[in-house]
Amino acid sequence: MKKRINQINILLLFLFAVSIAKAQEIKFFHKELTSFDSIKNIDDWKKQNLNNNDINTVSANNNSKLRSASSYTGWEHEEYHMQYKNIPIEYATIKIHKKDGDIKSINGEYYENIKLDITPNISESMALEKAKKYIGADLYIWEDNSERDFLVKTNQAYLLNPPKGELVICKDYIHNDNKKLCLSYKFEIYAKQPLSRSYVYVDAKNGQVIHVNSIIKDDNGSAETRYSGTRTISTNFINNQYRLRDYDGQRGNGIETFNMHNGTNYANVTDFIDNDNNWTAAEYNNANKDNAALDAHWGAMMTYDYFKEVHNRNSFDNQGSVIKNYVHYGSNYGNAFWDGHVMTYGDGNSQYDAYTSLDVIAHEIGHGVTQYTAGLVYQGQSGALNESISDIWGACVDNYAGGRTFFAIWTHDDDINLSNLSTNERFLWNPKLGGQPDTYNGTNWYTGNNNNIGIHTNSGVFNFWFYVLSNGGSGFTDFNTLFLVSGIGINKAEQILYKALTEYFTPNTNYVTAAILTTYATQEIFGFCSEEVISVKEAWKAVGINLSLNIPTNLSITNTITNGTNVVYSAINTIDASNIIEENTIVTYRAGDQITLNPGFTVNTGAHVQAYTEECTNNFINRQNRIARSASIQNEIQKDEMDIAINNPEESILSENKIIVYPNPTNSLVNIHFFKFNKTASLSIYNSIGQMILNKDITKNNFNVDLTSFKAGVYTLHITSAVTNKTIQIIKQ
Amino acid sequence: MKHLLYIALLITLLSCSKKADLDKVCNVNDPLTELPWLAQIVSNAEADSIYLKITKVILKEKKTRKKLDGFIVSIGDASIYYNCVGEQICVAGGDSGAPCETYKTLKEKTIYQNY
Repeated sequence: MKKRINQINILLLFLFAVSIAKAQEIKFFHKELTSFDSIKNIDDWKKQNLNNNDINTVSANNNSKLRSASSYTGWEHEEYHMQYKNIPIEYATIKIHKKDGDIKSINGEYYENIKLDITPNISESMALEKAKKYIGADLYIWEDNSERDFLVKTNQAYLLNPPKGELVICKDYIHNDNKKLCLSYKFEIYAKQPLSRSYVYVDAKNGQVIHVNSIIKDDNGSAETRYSGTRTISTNFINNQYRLRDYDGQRGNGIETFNMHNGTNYANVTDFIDNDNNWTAAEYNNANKDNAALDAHWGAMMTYDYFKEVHNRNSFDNQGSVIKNYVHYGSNYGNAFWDGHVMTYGDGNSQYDAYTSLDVIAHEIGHGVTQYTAGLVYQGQSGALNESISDIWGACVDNYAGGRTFFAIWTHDDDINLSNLSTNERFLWNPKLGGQPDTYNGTNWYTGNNNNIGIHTNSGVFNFWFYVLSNGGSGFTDFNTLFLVSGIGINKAEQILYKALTEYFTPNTNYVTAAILTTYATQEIFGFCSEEVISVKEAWKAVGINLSLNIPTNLSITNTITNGTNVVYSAINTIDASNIIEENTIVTYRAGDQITLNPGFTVNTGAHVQAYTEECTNNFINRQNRIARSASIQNEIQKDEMDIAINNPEESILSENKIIVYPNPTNSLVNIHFFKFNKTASLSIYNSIGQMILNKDITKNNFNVDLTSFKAGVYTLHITSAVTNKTIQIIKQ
Repeated sequence: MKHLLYIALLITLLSCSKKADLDKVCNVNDPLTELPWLAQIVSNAEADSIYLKITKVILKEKKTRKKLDGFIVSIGDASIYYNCVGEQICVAGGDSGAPCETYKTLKEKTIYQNY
């Protein structure tokens, strides 16, 4: 009987042990919330998920960078760290994602049913000895007086003393019992010989080391750069030396900066190295201009951080690819370039210093971003846009890094110019100072064949568009058009540009198309009738492209939207659609009054169609009770989901004044088909600045006009007949 | 008469060699397959879907007036000049947009373009 009781006791003990172990297993979760969920804050979540009054959460990290990065879309992200009886639980983190103040989702990792005695059995000093014994170093940094100046200079003076132990609760990662939570001392142990730097966790009950989290993967050094003062750089320690490689895991797969020794062979490069991670001017501001490498390295860090924090982009390809800088290219090479994979910087010549200023670095990495997004072809107008966008990123990163004057932000190459104002610089605030145009087709507009059809010249137009959009301005274009732009600030302008570049622009986007597409991007971010949209359009007017001429009153859409296309159609009053929308498309219709889907209108599975009656017109103002909605559609239209009219194919729907114009976009011929034709009609075609460039009489119900000789761009067709007046926007490819 | 014959022969030889130059830049018929370093550039660009244009060229070094064969690789924001063994000898474009000051292009023919 006694034996049997013992067996039961053993079994109960085993089950208890299993239950404890299971209970303390970490839980990962992700939950999407709706307006019906009762979780409104972290306390609600805690009540529903934690049956332990000893567990509390602390709002330890409202990540301001995430918040600012997402502010224009209304998203906010909060991060909470968990505690047990006010002792931090390592890695237990809850993240809450809000839009417009409401929680939309929540995720994280936590432990439940924690039961721990929080009284240590060993002292902090005893635990430190255990930690040091585990690391086994010959020399620790607090024992090395030679490091004193460096630690003070790099704001690490706390390392001058033996580390303090912080009581935390941590999982035992070492003893094959990784479900066990332990009360432990956490020490930051920085060893010099051999080098290591880690958080070491010592069990506060029995003195065993239960976890080591290395933090010396990389280190922060101090760099006296050539152009940007003293900056903190992330370096890599190997073989008792530091090199210009950032492998700290915070910037994708890293940043690497190499020395080409004035050669041109990338196989013969070496690292820049330093013994104490204190990269001083005395060492590197030498005849070789070695401090230029410090600018390249720090500049790449800043540029990565800018794209990550402002646009949530992970390196130029958004895949975290390593950013590679090659410095000291060639002899007297006054240039820098992106070769599709890496950046290369020359040391300059008699006119320019080394090409490693922050705006140049951002410019070159910016080419990588463009390459992996819109892929703007590097010639003609798309090439000018490509160049300009890189200049603009230069200004944005200058602004992001801080400490720059207005002139420095809005002037490209200003840091490296060895003379006074040079016509080779690019002045975003006044392109004509550098011989560039500030007006589309205006003064200085280049039409020759050099420089891939003037890409470094005609970029001035987009540069000025971005400048005047950010800062505002008034005046007259080269064609005496008055403009008055209310500036929206660089932070909003850069959001618009990034969205347009990554979601709307295509390889051959030209200036007129860019005007339309940046407007669409602005509408998407800020709303169709927003002040920002007005500023964007007025900024385009400031550079000679008047978008108000390009929105037709009514629009008839008949052309098939092909697989992979992202397109927006706008009309002041009505849109009639009878087209086919293929899979993998995103199609948006926007009209002020009504959108009519006629027979033939087909949406293939996988397409996404949105329809908005939200135009900024009097018609819409009179229809304020109607709310713009969007909907995913697969093979059928949900009438109650969209504020659009749907004609039954069984009914007679062909209105007497209906005209179909197709294909649109077109490379050459445009066909105009009248369903009812009264013998005479006339056609007028206007270009983007409102000049009539073609006028013809139409004598039959099927008519075509050849646009082969027209330049690529957007044209407005006015068709007048006895029964109708139609204005239709046509894109010539 | 003899001098005239020599001159005619010289002109013929020169015209023949000029005609042959662009057809056999770097002494190969098909540079994209016969020059491994050039094939590697194409391969790398195609792997990453990067726009690329390659032009075979006959260049003249402005300082020495010496002619040489080569290739101009237009990629990223640069036009990179290579000699026959794949060494970079000049770069145009880039941040400044400056042309190659060292060489003048005498003849050129595009042999690869993916846009």
